[in-house]
Amino acid sequence: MEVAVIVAVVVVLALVVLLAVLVQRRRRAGGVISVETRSRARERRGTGRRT
Amino acid sequence: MSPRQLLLRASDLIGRPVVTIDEGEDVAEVKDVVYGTADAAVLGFTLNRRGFLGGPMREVVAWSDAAAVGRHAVMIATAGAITANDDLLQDVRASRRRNVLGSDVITDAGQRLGKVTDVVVLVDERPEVVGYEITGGDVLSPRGSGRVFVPLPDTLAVSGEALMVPAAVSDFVTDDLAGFGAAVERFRQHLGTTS
Repeated sequence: MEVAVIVAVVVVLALVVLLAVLVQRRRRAGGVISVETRSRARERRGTGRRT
Repeated sequence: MSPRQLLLRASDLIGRPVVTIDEGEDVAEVKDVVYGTADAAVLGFTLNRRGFLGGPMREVVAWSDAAAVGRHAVMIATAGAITANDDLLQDVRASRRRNVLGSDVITDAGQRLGKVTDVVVLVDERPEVVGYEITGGDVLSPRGSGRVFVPLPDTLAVSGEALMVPAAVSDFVTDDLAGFGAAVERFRQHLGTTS
């Protein structure tokens, strides 16, 4: 009984650590972001109204 | 390409340390490379805190505040170059963190060229995105590596989830990053003569 509890606790802790590692990797993952600058967006909206 | 210019993959910059020149201290890591769709200019970087447990920072480094960008680090004059309320941060939030890695590239003739696996940045006084590294499409690698570099015009078109390029780009594809700068120049000259 005690062994089963210990094994269960260890398994749960391992899963928590694994989940934390995965979440942290995802949070830190980088990329290349394309943005439309606000000045460009304003310019485009202004052009849109005129046409 | 002048000797002071440097061609880099964006992935070479991601995870690199941001180092202050005045104290030589690693103050952050590059998380995202941010560029503008209007003129392909690199606008700056979002940041992670240093170390495995360091998460994303609210602050960014605008390109204008970077003293130098090399293969191994982004240099800033002082830690004050990392700013919290920059225009760049608001542009990034407004863009909903649109990551071009994994996006489809299609020509204006409707041909799918492949998916973006990396972005090529020309580091200069005015750094810009000059090409995509793509894989898995209709364009075949000259040497069969399956990965090619596609030059970009100096203005970019982005539509929904797809990145659009002129159909003529397929004549200027290369699988060699070292010779890619020349391919970009030839492609832009070609666009200049045909427009």
